[in-house]
Amino acid sequence: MRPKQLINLALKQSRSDLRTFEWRALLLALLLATTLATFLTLLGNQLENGLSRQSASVLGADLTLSDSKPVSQDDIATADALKLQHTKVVQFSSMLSTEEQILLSSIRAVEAPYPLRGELRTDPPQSTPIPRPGTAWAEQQLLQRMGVEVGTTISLGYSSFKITAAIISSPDRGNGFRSFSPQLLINRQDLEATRVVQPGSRIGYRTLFSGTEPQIREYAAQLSEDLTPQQRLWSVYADQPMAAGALTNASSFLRMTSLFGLLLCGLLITLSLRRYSSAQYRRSALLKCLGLKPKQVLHLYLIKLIFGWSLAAILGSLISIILLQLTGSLLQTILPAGLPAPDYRLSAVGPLLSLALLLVIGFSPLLQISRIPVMGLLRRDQLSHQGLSWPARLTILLLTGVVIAFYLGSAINALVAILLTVGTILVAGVFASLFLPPAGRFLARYSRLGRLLGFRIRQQRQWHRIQLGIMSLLLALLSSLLLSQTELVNRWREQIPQDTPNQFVINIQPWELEPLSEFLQQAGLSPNLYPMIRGRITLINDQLPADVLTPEQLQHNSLRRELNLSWAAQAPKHNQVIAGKWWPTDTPDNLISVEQELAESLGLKLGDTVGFEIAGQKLSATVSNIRQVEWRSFRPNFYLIFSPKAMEQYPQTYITSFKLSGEQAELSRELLKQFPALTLIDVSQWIDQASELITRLIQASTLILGLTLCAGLLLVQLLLYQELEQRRHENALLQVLGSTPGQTRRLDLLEFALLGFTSGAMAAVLAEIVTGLISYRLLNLPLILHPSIWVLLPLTGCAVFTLGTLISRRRSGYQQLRQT
Amino acid sequence: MELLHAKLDRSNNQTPSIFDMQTPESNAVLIATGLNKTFPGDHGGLNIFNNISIHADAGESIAIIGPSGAGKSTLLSILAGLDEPSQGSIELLGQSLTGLDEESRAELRSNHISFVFQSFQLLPELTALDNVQLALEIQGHPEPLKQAGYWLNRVGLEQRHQHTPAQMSGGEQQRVAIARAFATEPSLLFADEPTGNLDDKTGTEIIDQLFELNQQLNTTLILITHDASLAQRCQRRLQLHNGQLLEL
Repeated sequence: MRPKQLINLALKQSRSDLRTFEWRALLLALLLATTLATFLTLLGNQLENGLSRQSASVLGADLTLSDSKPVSQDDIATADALKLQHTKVVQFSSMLSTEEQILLSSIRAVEAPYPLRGELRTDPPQSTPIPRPGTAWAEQQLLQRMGVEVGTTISLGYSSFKITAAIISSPDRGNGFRSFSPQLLINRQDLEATRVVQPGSRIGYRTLFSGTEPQIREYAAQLSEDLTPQQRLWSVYADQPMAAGALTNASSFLRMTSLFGLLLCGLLITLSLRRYSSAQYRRSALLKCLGLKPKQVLHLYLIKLIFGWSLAAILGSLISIILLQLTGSLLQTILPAGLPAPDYRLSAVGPLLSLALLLVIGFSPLLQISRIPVMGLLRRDQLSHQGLSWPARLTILLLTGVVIAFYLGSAINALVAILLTVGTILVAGVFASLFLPPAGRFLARYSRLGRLLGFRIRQQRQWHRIQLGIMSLLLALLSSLLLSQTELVNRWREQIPQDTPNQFVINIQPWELEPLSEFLQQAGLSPNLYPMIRGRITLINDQLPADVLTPEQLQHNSLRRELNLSWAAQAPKHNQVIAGKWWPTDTPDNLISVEQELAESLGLKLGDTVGFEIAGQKLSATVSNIRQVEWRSFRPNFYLIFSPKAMEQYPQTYITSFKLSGEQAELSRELLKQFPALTLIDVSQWIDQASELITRLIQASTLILGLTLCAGLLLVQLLLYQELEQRRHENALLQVLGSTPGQTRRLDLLEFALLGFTSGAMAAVLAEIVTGLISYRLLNLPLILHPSIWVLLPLTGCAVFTLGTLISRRRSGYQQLRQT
Repeated sequence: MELLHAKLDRSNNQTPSIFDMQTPESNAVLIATGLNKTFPGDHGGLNIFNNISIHADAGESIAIIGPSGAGKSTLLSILAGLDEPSQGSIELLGQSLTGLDEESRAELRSNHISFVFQSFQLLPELTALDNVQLALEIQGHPEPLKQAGYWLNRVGLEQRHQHTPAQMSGGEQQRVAIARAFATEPSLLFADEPTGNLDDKTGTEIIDQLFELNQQLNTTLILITHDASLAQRCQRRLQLHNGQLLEL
């Protein structure tokens, strides 16, 4: 037979096979596997790119080097060699003045091109990327506070600038307190003429870089080697403010969902292939009888599988792209920079994964089809299914593991998944052999065909073991997904609780404490006020950090910049002391409370001494306790908190935060009117964005759960179909022998209800274990039991099985026998 | 008639194979000598038959009869090269089947042997035309579609070319099977209870057609049946009984 004829035959058979349940199930399994893997890969890539771009638009670049002096020519030469785009920014605080008003502002002097990432939006929109010489763009807050409008001329040092636009949004606002002040953007050419930058002035120099990820990573690595204590690197690939926690959780959930979905699809492919290959034995024997060689039979079925896979690959890719468009429109609005298109080359991942799964799982059944003896046409017993040897099964399992590990990029996750699968089926086997016979005897009392039920349980125990194992795993996986999704939602909701502050007030002077507290209390707000001062860690246990820490520890940011320090008589309410004790209110000692992550990074233990340089003075304090801090709480948090006595001689300012609702907007204006020296930072927009991001991600993950559910339901249908096929003939015989249809139906219902209940009960145990692992390993949540599933899962198992049994009973006994 | 010459032309279009070489001076199509079949078992195995020999000439019709379980189907499968005998040898068209691999047996079946089964064994997804065409395609016939149409017409299924097996009666399905069997113009045709699933009238029609084609094409017909009247229509009748083959 010529290859073309073989392909034609394969095509013809594939088309007609669409009428068969097993071929449809196999195609659906491939379609689901392809769709799941493609969709998750593209969505993951899109989110990652989107969040990187989001970070980039916050930074205005892919990489930012900040320093207290201008960037060196060597660093610029290296960037040029790596073909990175770069631009320089000078930022400093200075007083702006009009005839009526003066205001301490943060001035950004920039040069084109600017910014390198993100968008600088102005009102009215401007034709140039940066202000023309002699002009300036001011933030809305600055215009409001100075009581001026666009078109006004303001003075900065010895120069005057006409404000030609209001800044609506701007990347690269800098970091630290300069970023909190209202900002003015000027052209760098004008800087010298202002004469505000003099030797000794406190100036921040930033150099922004952009390029491809490998270029940026390489350059960042080179810069990191020689960073001075004053220098700081910000990279979109290392620093993802705000969304980092949500992204980590979302990625964990996506990975977990994809793992479960793929496992289900793997099971589906295995079972549908098994059924399909069994159904093909007679056909294969006939083709061989007509003269087709075994190799040609193998080729024929390989071509058919490739046809099926191609169909699934095309449809799956299309569906995943449509799903991506849906999620894209959901997620588009949440990131100011918008969601970038994913790398569509990754669409190949899903089809390749399903092809790998198909070949790994499918090759053995195909080999069996091609080896079926022609004798089977004369003697039916020759067409019976030949079980795989254990080495072959283990090889398939191992190869499936390798495929999944390759896709997930984690051998451990794949290993856990496979161990879980095999373990579940083994445990289910043991459980079935222990539980089913006595349960069957008990139920037999309620049916005239009770003896037959016992006989069935004995006769089908091998099949029951497999079926119970798979059903238990399926129900457990689906309920784990639902449970963990709920927990994830809760976790995200917890991340941004209802009372999350959206306003920060800084630069509060000690004499303003009392009137400010009074003002806030009158407005119904009672926030805590935290003292704050900046200082640098200089010694650890009286030695230089370089002498006692490893090179990795020395890279920690806390050693390379000034830290915001605070002091308190009592532990902050939203911090938890996890080691040591909080100090007595009136302790005369110099004590510090260290944040947990910092303590771990620097190896600080209780009783260690840490030396500081604060406002040019040396200070030493003993570690008294270690705190756990929820950084994502949007409250003022500190790495280091001192006992009050230690800090009493230092000048103090205070910081506080509180939540203002939309209707209380007037309050912030009133606050600034009464306390003009304060700096008020409105972060409500950031929180709204984060909140929306979380909600949208949950909606997107529901789509993934939907796909996984489809795979699960298909698997249930496949299992029931297979089992009921066997039952039909037996029931037909019983009816011919005198049983009523009602009796055989009751027998089926009893058997399947028992199987459903047992699967559900085992699934409940498994679901607790799986969700426990997810909570503990992936989400860092405390372990909790879910009593509802102990009732719901056995009932669901019963309901699914009995409903399936009722739906599948269509033919009468005589029809069935005649067909057989 | 043009199509009937296809068999002669075919040898010009195909790569010659070992089975294209029939000994010119001999008229024997099948020579089986000293066949013995024993299925392995715990107590020395189950012996089905002993020392059976058969000689079948071209165009001859032979019935193998015997009670259920006598080993008729086992004998057929061995004679057709579907199974190996425990002992003995088989020569088909002058070539020994002993030691032939699966590939060579498949080539042999494709070129020289056809089957008609009790349960028709048509591919349900294919139309009548496709079912016949398939066998010809496997054989490598140059015009499988034309030849398939010709043979369906010849068995009286002019109106059924595009019907699938499910849309045809048992008799019609068996006619398709006969068309498929003869379309490849085999030297040897094995029929296993070909009327077993048909009523008497249809069965008789089918058998008439089978013998008619057997005569016209000079095809050797080996028929397995437990129907004595059917066996009577064959030139020779062999009875398989207690592991021995007796010529009646």
